Amino acid sequence: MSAVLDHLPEFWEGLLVTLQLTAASFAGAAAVGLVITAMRVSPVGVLRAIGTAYVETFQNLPLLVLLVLAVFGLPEIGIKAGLLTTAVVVIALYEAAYIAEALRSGVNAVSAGQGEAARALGLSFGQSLRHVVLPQALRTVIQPLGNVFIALTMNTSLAAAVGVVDLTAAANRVNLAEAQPIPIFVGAGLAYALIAACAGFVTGRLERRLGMVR
Amino acid sequence: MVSLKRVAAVAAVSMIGLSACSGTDSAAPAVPGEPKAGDLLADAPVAAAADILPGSTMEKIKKRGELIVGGSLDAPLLSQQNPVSGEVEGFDADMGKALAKYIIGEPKVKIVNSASETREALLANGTVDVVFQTYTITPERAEQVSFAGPYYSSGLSIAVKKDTTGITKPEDLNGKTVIAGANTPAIPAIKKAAPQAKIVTFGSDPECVQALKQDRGVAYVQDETLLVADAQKDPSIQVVGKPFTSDPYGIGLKHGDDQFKKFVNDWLTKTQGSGLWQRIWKNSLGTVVQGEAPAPPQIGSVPGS
Repeated sequence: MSAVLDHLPEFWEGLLVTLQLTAASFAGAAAVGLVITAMRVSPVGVLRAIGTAYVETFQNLPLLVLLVLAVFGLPEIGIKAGLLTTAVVVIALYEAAYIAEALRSGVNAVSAGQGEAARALGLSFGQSLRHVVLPQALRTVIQPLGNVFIALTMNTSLAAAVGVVDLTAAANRVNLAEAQPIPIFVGAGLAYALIAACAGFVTGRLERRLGMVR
Repeated sequence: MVSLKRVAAVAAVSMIGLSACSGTDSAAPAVPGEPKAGDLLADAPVAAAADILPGSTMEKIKKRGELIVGGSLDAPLLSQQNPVSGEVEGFDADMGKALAKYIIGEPKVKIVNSASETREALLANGTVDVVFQTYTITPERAEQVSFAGPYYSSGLSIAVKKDTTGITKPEDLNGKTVIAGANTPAIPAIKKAAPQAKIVTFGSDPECVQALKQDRGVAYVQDETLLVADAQKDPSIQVVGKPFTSDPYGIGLKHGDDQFKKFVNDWLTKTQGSGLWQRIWKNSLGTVVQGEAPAPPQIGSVPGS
Protein backbone atom coordinates (compact mmCIF):
# COMPACT_ATOMS: atom_id res chain seq x y z
CA MET A 1 0.00 0.00 0.00
CA SER A 2 2.89 2.35 0.84
CA ALA A 3 4.04 1.85 -2.76
CA VAL A 4 0.96 3.84 -3.80
CA LEU A 5 0.88 6.34 -0.93
CA ASP A 6 4.57 7.29 -1.30
CA HIS A 7 4.01 8.23 -4.93
CA LEU A 8 0.73 10.12 -4.75
CA PRO A 9 2.18 13.22 -6.51
CA GLU A 10 3.19 11.12 -9.54
CA PHE A 11 -0.24 9.44 -9.63
CA TRP A 12 -1.93 12.82 -9.30
CA GLU A 13 0.02 14.30 -12.22
CA GLY A 14 -0.78 11.24 -14.31
CA LEU A 15 -4.45 11.49 -13.37
CA LEU A 16 -4.53 15.15 -14.40
CA VAL A 17 -3.11 14.28 -17.82
CA THR A 18 -5.68 11.48 -18.18
CA LEU A 19 -8.49 13.91 -17.30
CA GLN A 20 -7.13 16.46 -19.80
CA LEU A 21 -6.95 13.80 -22.50
CA THR A 22 -10.46 12.61 -21.70
CA ALA A 23 -12.08 16.03 -21.56
CA ALA A 24 -10.36 17.50 -24.61
CA SER A 25 -10.79 14.46 -26.80
CA PHE A 26 -14.45 13.97 -25.78
CA ALA A 27 -15.21 17.60 -26.63
CA GLY A 28 -13.50 17.20 -30.00
CA ALA A 29 -15.19 13.85 -30.63
CA ALA A 30 -18.63 15.31 -29.82
CA ALA A 31 -18.14 18.20 -32.26
CA VAL A 32 -16.82 16.02 -35.09
CA GLY A 33 -19.37 13.29 -34.34
CA LEU A 34 -22.23 15.79 -34.61
CA VAL A 35 -21.01 16.97 -38.01
CA ILE A 36 -20.63 13.39 -39.24
CA THR A 37 -24.16 12.54 -38.07
CA ALA A 38 -25.56 15.57 -39.87
CA MET A 39 -23.77 14.40 -43.01
CA ARG A 40 -25.06 10.85 -42.67
CA VAL A 41 -28.71 11.93 -42.43
CA SER A 42 -28.44 14.75 -44.95
CA PRO A 43 -30.33 14.66 -48.24
CA VAL A 44 -27.08 15.10 -50.22
CA GLY A 45 -25.71 11.77 -51.45
CA VAL A 46 -22.04 12.81 -51.51
CA LEU A 47 -22.17 14.01 -47.88
CA ARG A 48 -23.84 10.74 -46.82
CA ALA A 49 -21.10 8.79 -48.57
CA ILE A 50 -18.34 10.82 -46.89
CA GLY A 51 -19.97 10.33 -43.49
CA THR A 52 -20.27 6.58 -44.01
CA ALA A 53 -16.67 6.31 -45.22
CA TYR A 54 -15.45 8.25 -42.16
CA VAL A 55 -17.26 6.00 -39.71
CA GLU A 56 -16.16 2.82 -41.49
CA THR A 57 -12.53 3.97 -41.66
CA PHE A 58 -12.18 4.87 -38.02
CA GLN A 59 -14.23 1.99 -36.64
CA ASN A 60 -12.18 -0.52 -38.58
CA LEU A 61 -8.71 0.63 -37.53
CA PRO A 62 -7.28 -0.04 -34.06
CA LEU A 63 -6.67 3.14 -32.06
CA LEU A 64 -3.09 2.13 -31.25
CA VAL A 65 -2.27 1.84 -34.96
CA LEU A 66 -3.67 5.33 -35.55
CA LEU A 67 -1.70 6.74 -32.61
CA VAL A 68 1.59 5.19 -33.73
CA LEU A 69 1.00 6.33 -37.33
CA ALA A 70 0.24 9.88 -36.21
CA VAL A 71 3.14 10.16 -33.77
CA PHE A 72 5.85 8.55 -35.92
CA GLY A 73 4.41 8.82 -39.43
CA LEU A 74 3.19 12.41 -39.69
CA PRO A 75 6.58 14.03 -38.79
CA GLU A 76 8.01 12.18 -41.82
CA ILE A 77 5.77 14.31 -44.05
CA GLY A 78 6.46 17.47 -42.08
CA ILE A 79 3.43 17.56 -39.76
CA LYS A 80 4.60 17.61 -36.17
CA ALA A 81 2.69 18.56 -33.04
CA GLY A 82 3.27 17.88 -29.36
CA LEU A 83 2.63 14.36 -28.09
CA LEU A 84 -0.39 15.33 -25.96
CA THR A 85 -1.93 17.37 -28.80
CA THR A 86 -1.40 14.54 -31.28
CA ALA A 87 -2.98 12.04 -28.88
CA VAL A 88 -6.00 14.30 -28.24
CA VAL A 89 -6.63 14.85 -31.97
CA VAL A 90 -6.27 11.15 -32.83
CA ILE A 91 -8.50 9.96 -29.97
CA ALA A 92 -11.09 12.65 -30.82
CA LEU A 93 -11.20 11.66 -34.51
CA TYR A 94 -11.40 7.97 -33.58
CA GLU A 95 -14.14 8.30 -30.97
CA ALA A 96 -16.09 10.69 -33.22
CA ALA A 97 -16.98 7.67 -35.36
CA TYR A 98 -18.58 5.99 -32.33
CA ILE A 99 -20.35 9.15 -31.22
CA ALA A 100 -21.68 9.60 -34.76
CA GLU A 101 -23.10 6.08 -34.72
CA ALA A 102 -24.75 6.64 -31.32
CA LEU A 103 -26.24 9.95 -32.51
CA ARG A 104 -27.45 8.42 -35.75
CA SER A 105 -29.35 5.75 -33.86
CA GLY A 106 -30.96 8.60 -31.90
CA VAL A 107 -31.89 10.44 -35.09
CA ASN A 108 -33.38 7.24 -36.49
CA ALA A 109 -35.45 6.91 -33.31
CA VAL A 110 -37.18 10.22 -34.06
CA SER A 111 -40.14 9.40 -36.25
CA ALA A 112 -39.86 10.50 -39.86
CA GLY A 113 -43.06 12.52 -39.53
CA GLN A 114 -41.29 14.97 -37.20
CA GLY A 115 -38.71 15.87 -39.80
CA GLU A 116 -41.31 15.98 -42.56
CA ALA A 117 -43.55 18.25 -40.49
CA ALA A 118 -40.61 20.56 -39.78
CA ARG A 119 -39.78 20.78 -43.49
CA ALA A 120 -43.50 21.32 -44.30
CA LEU A 121 -43.50 24.28 -41.91
CA GLY A 122 -40.72 25.81 -43.98
CA LEU A 123 -37.67 25.07 -41.80
CA SER A 124 -34.46 24.41 -43.73
CA PHE A 125 -32.66 21.08 -43.30
CA GLY A 126 -30.25 22.65 -40.81
CA GLN A 127 -33.04 24.30 -38.87
CA SER A 128 -35.18 21.18 -38.68
CA LEU A 129 -32.13 19.22 -37.50
CA ARG A 130 -31.24 21.84 -34.90
CA HIS A 131 -34.69 22.68 -33.53
CA VAL A 132 -36.71 19.51 -34.04
CA VAL A 133 -34.74 16.35 -34.67
CA LEU A 134 -31.50 16.62 -32.65
CA PRO A 135 -33.07 17.77 -29.34
CA GLN A 136 -35.24 14.66 -29.39
CA ALA A 137 -32.45 12.45 -30.72
CA LEU A 138 -29.97 13.49 -28.02
CA ARG A 139 -32.42 12.65 -25.25
CA THR A 140 -32.69 9.05 -26.41
CA VAL A 141 -28.95 8.45 -26.62
CA ILE A 142 -27.75 9.72 -23.22
CA GLN A 143 -26.73 6.24 -22.06
CA PRO A 144 -24.98 5.26 -25.33
CA LEU A 145 -23.04 8.54 -25.22
CA GLY A 146 -22.11 7.81 -21.60
CA ASN A 147 -20.79 4.44 -22.74
CA VAL A 148 -18.72 6.10 -25.46
CA PHE A 149 -17.35 8.49 -22.81
CA ILE A 150 -16.33 5.60 -20.55
CA ALA A 151 -14.76 3.71 -23.46
CA LEU A 152 -12.89 6.88 -24.42
CA THR A 153 -11.58 7.25 -20.85
CA MET A 154 -10.21 3.71 -20.97
CA ASN A 155 -8.80 4.26 -24.46
CA THR A 156 -6.76 7.27 -23.31
CA SER A 157 -4.44 4.77 -21.60
CA LEU A 158 -3.15 3.85 -25.08
CA ALA A 159 -1.55 7.30 -25.23
CA ALA A 160 0.96 5.95 -22.71
CA ALA A 161 2.40 3.85 -25.56
CA VAL A 162 3.32 6.96 -27.54
CA GLY A 163 5.06 8.90 -24.82
CA VAL A 164 2.20 10.70 -23.05
CA VAL A 165 2.68 10.38 -19.28
CA ASP A 166 -0.92 9.66 -18.31
CA LEU A 167 -2.15 7.65 -15.35
CA THR A 168 -1.08 4.35 -16.94
CA ALA A 169 2.42 5.60 -17.76
CA ALA A 170 2.72 7.07 -14.26
CA ALA A 171 1.76 3.72 -12.73
CA ASN A 172 4.35 2.00 -14.92
CA ARG A 173 7.05 4.39 -13.73
CA VAL A 174 6.14 4.01 -10.06
CA ASN A 175 6.18 0.24 -10.46
CA LEU A 176 9.61 0.43 -12.02
CA ALA A 177 10.95 1.92 -8.81
CA GLU A 178 8.83 -0.01 -6.31
CA ALA A 179 8.36 -3.41 -7.99
CA GLN A 180 4.90 -3.80 -6.43
CA PRO A 181 2.68 -4.27 -9.49
CA ILE A 182 -0.45 -5.47 -7.73
CA PRO A 183 -1.13 -2.52 -5.37
CA ILE A 184 0.09 -0.02 -7.97
CA PHE A 185 -2.08 -1.22 -10.83
CA VAL A 186 -5.04 -1.86 -8.54
CA GLY A 187 -4.62 1.77 -7.43
CA ALA A 188 -4.50 3.03 -11.02
CA GLY A 189 -7.45 0.79 -11.90
CA LEU A 190 -9.48 2.26 -9.04
CA ALA A 191 -8.83 5.76 -10.37
CA TYR A 192 -10.13 4.74 -13.81
CA ALA A 193 -13.09 3.00 -12.19
CA LEU A 194 -13.84 6.20 -10.27
CA ILE A 195 -13.92 8.26 -13.48
CA ALA A 196 -16.19 5.66 -15.09
CA ALA A 197 -18.45 5.57 -12.04
CA CYS A 198 -18.78 9.37 -12.09
CA ALA A 199 -19.66 9.24 -15.78
CA GLY A 200 -22.23 6.53 -15.09
CA PHE A 201 -23.75 8.53 -12.24
CA VAL A 202 -23.98 11.71 -14.32
CA THR A 203 -25.53 9.97 -17.33
CA GLY A 204 -27.99 8.20 -15.02
CA ARG A 205 -29.10 11.53 -13.55
CA LEU A 206 -29.26 13.17 -16.97
CA GLU A 207 -31.34 10.34 -18.34
CA ARG A 208 -33.85 10.56 -15.51
CA ARG A 209 -34.16 14.30 -15.99
CA LEU A 210 -34.09 14.51 -19.76
CA GLY A 211 -35.02 11.03 -20.99
CA MET A 212 -38.24 10.79 -22.94
CA VAL A 213 -40.97 8.33 -22.17
CA ARG A 214 -42.57 7.27 -25.39
CA MET B 1 -12.85 9.62 -48.91
CA VAL B 2 -11.62 6.72 -50.94
CA SER B 3 -8.43 8.72 -51.22
CA LEU B 4 -8.16 8.98 -47.42
CA LYS B 5 -8.56 5.24 -47.19
CA ARG B 6 -5.90 4.86 -49.84
CA VAL B 7 -3.57 7.21 -47.98
CA ALA B 8 -4.14 5.17 -44.82
CA ALA B 9 -3.47 1.96 -46.69
CA VAL B 10 -0.29 3.33 -48.25
CA ALA B 11 0.88 4.56 -44.87
CA ALA B 12 0.13 1.21 -43.29
CA VAL B 13 1.94 -0.66 -46.04
CA SER B 14 4.97 1.61 -45.81
CA MET B 15 5.08 1.08 -42.05
CA ILE B 16 5.06 -2.68 -42.64
CA GLY B 17 7.79 -2.18 -45.23
CA LEU B 18 9.82 -0.14 -42.76
CA SER B 19 9.54 -2.68 -39.99
CA ALA B 20 10.36 -5.47 -42.42
CA CYS B 21 13.52 -3.63 -43.46
CA SER B 22 14.63 -3.02 -39.91
CA GLY B 23 13.90 -6.69 -39.25
CA THR B 24 16.40 -7.77 -41.90
CA ASP B 25 18.91 -5.24 -40.62
CA SER B 26 18.89 -6.58 -37.10
CA ALA B 27 19.15 -10.13 -38.38
CA ALA B 28 22.26 -9.13 -40.32
CA PRO B 29 24.84 -10.00 -37.62
CA ALA B 30 23.80 -13.64 -37.97
CA VAL B 31 26.37 -14.21 -40.71
CA PRO B 32 26.64 -17.74 -42.07
CA GLY B 33 29.38 -19.73 -40.38
CA GLU B 34 28.86 -18.06 -37.03
CA PRO B 35 28.23 -20.59 -34.29
CA LYS B 36 24.51 -21.15 -33.67
CA ALA B 37 23.15 -21.45 -30.15
CA GLY B 38 22.95 -25.23 -30.59
CA ASP B 39 26.69 -25.57 -31.26
CA LEU B 40 27.39 -23.03 -28.57
CA LEU B 41 25.69 -25.17 -25.94
CA ALA B 42 27.03 -28.52 -27.21
CA ASP B 43 29.59 -28.73 -24.41
CA ALA B 44 27.61 -26.72 -21.83
CA PRO B 45 27.78 -28.22 -18.34
CA VAL B 46 25.01 -30.53 -17.09
CA ALA B 47 24.30 -30.90 -13.38
CA ALA B 48 25.21 -34.15 -11.65
CA ALA B 49 22.17 -36.19 -10.61
CA ALA B 50 23.12 -35.63 -6.98
CA ASP B 51 22.70 -31.88 -7.36
CA ILE B 52 19.04 -32.23 -8.35
CA LEU B 53 17.73 -32.58 -4.81
CA PRO B 54 14.46 -34.48 -4.35
CA GLY B 55 11.47 -32.17 -3.92
CA SER B 56 13.39 -29.15 -5.13
CA THR B 57 12.50 -26.63 -7.83
CA MET B 58 15.24 -28.17 -10.01
CA GLU B 59 13.62 -31.59 -9.80
CA LYS B 60 10.23 -30.15 -10.71
CA ILE B 61 11.75 -28.48 -13.80
CA LYS B 62 13.61 -31.62 -14.81
CA LYS B 63 10.42 -33.72 -14.53
CA ARG B 64 8.56 -31.19 -16.65
CA GLY B 65 11.35 -31.36 -19.26
CA GLU B 66 11.22 -27.65 -19.95
CA LEU B 67 12.49 -24.52 -18.22
CA ILE B 68 9.96 -21.69 -18.23
CA VAL B 69 11.81 -18.39 -18.58
CA GLY B 70 10.32 -14.93 -18.19
CA GLY B 71 11.96 -12.79 -20.86
CA SER B 72 11.60 -10.38 -23.73
CA LEU B 73 11.04 -11.13 -27.38
CA ASP B 74 11.99 -7.67 -28.63
CA ALA B 75 15.34 -6.76 -27.03
CA PRO B 76 18.04 -6.74 -29.73
CA LEU B 77 21.23 -8.65 -28.82
CA LEU B 78 19.69 -9.73 -25.52
CA SER B 79 16.49 -11.60 -26.16
CA GLN B 80 14.92 -11.11 -29.55
CA GLN B 81 12.76 -13.46 -31.56
CA ASN B 82 14.17 -14.08 -35.01
CA PRO B 83 11.16 -13.53 -37.31
CA VAL B 84 12.48 -16.09 -39.83
CA SER B 85 13.38 -19.03 -37.60
CA GLY B 86 11.14 -18.22 -34.63
CA GLU B 87 14.14 -18.83 -32.34
CA VAL B 88 14.78 -16.35 -29.54
CA GLU B 89 18.37 -15.12 -29.82
CA GLY B 90 20.69 -13.04 -27.69
CA PHE B 91 22.66 -13.01 -24.48
CA ASP B 92 19.75 -13.43 -22.04
CA ALA B 93 18.08 -16.03 -24.26
CA ASP B 94 21.25 -18.15 -24.56
CA MET B 95 21.90 -17.92 -20.83
CA GLY B 96 18.37 -19.28 -20.27
CA LYS B 97 19.05 -22.14 -22.69
CA ALA B 98 22.35 -22.92 -20.94
CA LEU B 99 20.55 -23.10 -17.56
CA ALA B 100 17.91 -25.38 -19.08
CA LYS B 101 20.64 -27.66 -20.38
CA TYR B 102 22.26 -27.71 -16.93
CA ILE B 103 19.05 -28.83 -15.25
CA ILE B 104 17.37 -30.99 -17.90
CA GLY B 105 20.28 -32.07 -20.10
CA GLU B 106 18.79 -30.37 -23.16
CA PRO B 107 18.46 -26.64 -23.88
CA LYS B 108 14.66 -26.75 -23.81
CA VAL B 109 13.12 -23.45 -22.75
CA LYS B 110 9.75 -21.85 -23.07
CA ILE B 111 9.98 -18.07 -23.01
CA VAL B 112 7.01 -16.33 -21.46
CA ASN B 113 6.98 -12.75 -22.68
CA SER B 114 7.05 -10.91 -19.40
CA ALA B 115 7.08 -7.18 -18.87
CA SER B 116 8.56 -5.07 -16.11
CA GLU B 117 5.04 -4.73 -14.69
CA THR B 118 4.51 -8.46 -14.34
CA ARG B 119 7.87 -10.04 -13.52
CA GLU B 120 7.48 -10.10 -9.74
CA ALA B 121 3.96 -11.49 -9.95
CA LEU B 122 4.93 -14.15 -12.51
CA LEU B 123 7.73 -15.40 -10.22
CA ALA B 124 5.60 -15.24 -7.08
CA ASN B 125 2.73 -17.28 -8.53
CA GLY B 126 5.01 -19.79 -10.22
CA THR B 127 4.10 -19.02 -13.86
CA VAL B 128 7.81 -18.81 -14.68
CA ASP B 129 10.78 -20.58 -13.07
CA VAL B 130 13.37 -17.88 -13.71
CA VAL B 131 13.53 -14.38 -15.22
CA PHE B 132 16.33 -13.43 -17.64
CA GLN B 133 15.35 -9.92 -18.69
CA THR B 134 17.95 -7.21 -17.98
CA TYR B 135 16.58 -7.43 -14.46
CA THR B 136 18.64 -4.95 -12.47
CA ILE B 137 19.20 -6.07 -8.88
CA THR B 138 17.88 -3.50 -6.40
CA PRO B 139 17.20 -3.83 -2.67
CA GLU B 140 13.50 -2.89 -3.26
CA ARG B 141 13.06 -5.67 -5.79
CA ALA B 142 14.98 -8.11 -3.58
CA GLU B 143 12.11 -7.88 -1.09
CA GLN B 144 9.78 -9.35 -3.72
CA VAL B 145 12.03 -11.84 -5.52
CA SER B 146 15.36 -13.60 -5.00
CA PHE B 147 18.25 -12.78 -7.29
CA ALA B 148 20.98 -15.17 -8.40
CA GLY B 149 24.04 -13.54 -9.88
CA PRO B 150 24.67 -10.78 -10.97
CA TYR B 151 25.42 -12.48 -14.28
CA TYR B 152 26.14 -9.33 -16.26
CA SER B 153 26.91 -5.71 -15.53
CA SER B 154 25.92 -2.93 -17.85
CA GLY B 155 25.57 0.83 -17.79
CA LEU B 156 23.40 3.57 -19.22
CA SER B 157 24.77 5.93 -21.86
CA ILE B 158 23.48 8.94 -23.77
CA ALA B 159 22.88 9.05 -27.51
CA VAL B 160 22.22 12.24 -29.49
CA LYS B 161 21.78 13.22 -33.12
CA LYS B 162 25.10 13.72 -34.92
CA ASP B 163 25.05 17.55 -35.03
CA THR B 164 24.01 18.05 -31.38
CA THR B 165 26.41 20.02 -29.20
CA GLY B 166 26.50 20.75 -25.50
CA ILE B 167 25.52 17.30 -24.24
CA THR B 168 28.41 15.24 -22.99
CA LYS B 169 27.39 14.17 -19.48
CA PRO B 170 24.12 13.40 -17.66
CA GLU B 171 24.03 16.80 -15.90
CA ASP B 172 23.75 18.45 -19.32
CA LEU B 173 20.29 16.93 -19.66
CA ASN B 174 18.81 19.25 -17.01
CA GLY B 175 15.96 21.31 -18.47
CA LYS B 176 15.92 19.30 -21.70
CA THR B 177 13.55 16.68 -23.05
CA VAL B 178 15.05 13.22 -22.83
CA ILE B 179 13.80 10.04 -24.47
CA ALA B 180 13.90 6.74 -22.59
CA GLY B 181 12.47 3.28 -23.05
CA ALA B 182 9.26 2.74 -21.09
CA ASN B 183 9.90 0.52 -18.06
CA THR B 184 13.68 0.76 -18.30
CA PRO B 185 16.05 1.66 -15.46
CA ALA B 186 16.88 4.79 -17.48
CA ILE B 187 13.85 6.63 -16.06
CA PRO B 188 14.91 6.63 -12.38
CA ALA B 189 18.56 7.11 -13.43
CA ILE B 190 17.75 10.29 -15.41
CA LYS B 191 15.63 11.60 -12.52
CA LYS B 192 18.59 11.12 -10.22
CA ALA B 193 21.32 12.54 -12.49
CA ALA B 194 19.29 15.38 -14.01
CA PRO B 195 16.21 16.15 -11.89
CA GLN B 196 15.06 18.99 -14.16
CA ALA B 197 14.98 16.86 -17.30
CA LYS B 198 11.61 16.11 -18.88
CA ILE B 199 11.34 12.41 -19.73
CA VAL B 200 9.26 11.03 -22.59
CA THR B 201 9.04 7.28 -22.96
CA PHE B 202 8.30 4.95 -25.86
CA GLY B 203 7.72 1.22 -25.82
CA SER B 204 10.59 -0.14 -27.86
CA ASP B 205 14.14 0.73 -28.84
CA PRO B 206 13.34 1.38 -32.55
CA GLU B 207 10.55 3.78 -31.48
CA CYS B 208 12.96 5.66 -29.23
CA VAL B 209 15.51 5.99 -32.05
CA GLN B 210 12.78 7.23 -34.41
CA ALA B 211 11.63 9.74 -31.76
CA LEU B 212 15.22 11.01 -31.33
CA LYS B 213 15.57 11.48 -35.09
CA GLN B 214 12.21 13.34 -35.18
CA ASP B 215 13.37 15.69 -32.37
CA ARG B 216 10.86 14.49 -29.77
CA GLY B 217 13.80 14.86 -27.40
CA VAL B 218 17.43 15.98 -27.61
CA ALA B 219 18.92 12.82 -26.15
CA TYR B 220 18.13 9.14 -25.71
CA VAL B 221 19.28 7.33 -22.58
CA GLN B 222 19.55 3.55 -22.84
CA ASP B 223 21.83 0.64 -22.07
CA GLU B 224 25.20 1.34 -23.70
CA THR B 225 25.27 -1.93 -25.61
CA LEU B 226 21.95 -1.20 -27.29
CA LEU B 227 23.01 2.36 -28.12
CA VAL B 228 26.26 1.17 -29.70
CA ALA B 229 24.25 -1.24 -31.84
CA ASP B 230 21.79 1.54 -32.78
CA ALA B 231 24.57 3.98 -33.70
CA GLN B 232 26.20 1.31 -35.82
CA LYS B 233 22.99 0.69 -37.75
CA ASP B 234 22.12 4.37 -38.07
CA PRO B 235 24.94 6.83 -38.79
CA SER B 236 22.76 9.88 -37.96
CA ILE B 237 23.01 9.23 -34.21
CA GLN B 238 26.03 8.95 -31.96
CA VAL B 239 26.83 7.84 -28.41
CA VAL B 240 28.45 10.52 -26.23
CA GLY B 241 30.58 10.03 -23.12
CA LYS B 242 31.00 6.94 -20.99
CA PRO B 243 28.24 4.98 -19.21
CA PHE B 244 27.11 6.94 -16.12
CA THR B 245 25.53 4.08 -14.17
CA SER B 246 26.39 0.52 -13.35
CA ASP B 247 23.46 -1.88 -13.57
CA PRO B 248 24.03 -5.39 -12.27
CA TYR B 249 21.60 -7.78 -13.97
CA GLY B 250 20.36 -10.67 -11.85
CA ILE B 251 18.49 -13.88 -12.52
CA GLY B 252 15.06 -13.49 -10.94
CA LEU B 253 13.90 -16.43 -8.83
CA LYS B 254 10.94 -17.04 -6.55
CA HIS B 255 11.42 -15.18 -3.27
CA GLY B 256 12.89 -17.31 -0.50
CA ASP B 257 13.87 -20.31 -2.66
CA ASP B 258 17.45 -20.38 -1.29
CA GLN B 259 18.09 -23.95 -2.46
CA PHE B 260 17.39 -23.00 -6.09
CA LYS B 261 19.34 -19.74 -5.73
CA LYS B 262 22.46 -21.62 -4.59
CA PHE B 263 21.99 -24.12 -7.42
CA VAL B 264 21.76 -21.32 -10.03
CA ASN B 265 24.76 -19.50 -8.55
CA ASP B 266 26.78 -22.76 -8.72
CA TRP B 267 25.78 -23.11 -12.38
CA LEU B 268 26.80 -19.51 -13.05
CA THR B 269 30.23 -20.11 -11.49
CA LYS B 270 30.68 -23.17 -13.70
CA THR B 271 29.64 -21.40 -16.95
CA GLN B 272 32.00 -18.55 -16.18
CA GLY B 273 34.85 -20.88 -15.27
CA SER B 274 34.46 -23.02 -18.39
CA GLY B 275 34.45 -20.03 -20.75
CA LEU B 276 30.84 -20.68 -21.86
CA TRP B 277 29.68 -17.32 -20.46
CA GLN B 278 32.37 -15.58 -22.51
CA ARG B 279 31.40 -17.48 -25.67
CA ILE B 280 27.72 -16.59 -25.22
CA TRP B 281 28.74 -12.93 -24.82
CA LYS B 282 30.91 -13.06 -27.94
CA ASN B 283 28.03 -14.57 -29.92
CA SER B 284 25.54 -11.84 -28.93
CA LEU B 285 26.69 -8.57 -27.38
CA GLY B 286 30.22 -9.19 -28.67
CA THR B 287 28.99 -8.82 -32.26
CA VAL B 288 28.64 -5.04 -31.79
CA VAL B 289 31.09 -4.30 -28.97
CA GLN B 290 34.77 -4.34 -29.89
CA GLY B 291 37.28 -6.49 -28.04
CA GLU B 292 37.21 -9.50 -25.76
CA ALA B 293 34.43 -10.44 -23.35
CA PRO B 294 34.54 -8.37 -20.14
CA ALA B 295 35.20 -9.99 -16.78
CA PRO B 296 31.87 -11.24 -15.40
CA PRO B 297 30.74 -9.50 -12.17
CA GLN B 298 31.37 -11.17 -8.82
CA ILE B 299 28.40 -13.34 -7.81
CA GLY B 300 26.61 -11.92 -4.78
CA SER B 301 28.59 -8.68 -4.95
CA VAL B 302 25.67 -6.22 -4.97
CA PRO B 303 23.06 -5.42 -2.30
CA GLY B 304 20.00 -7.54 -2.97
CA SER B 305 21.81 -10.45 -4.62
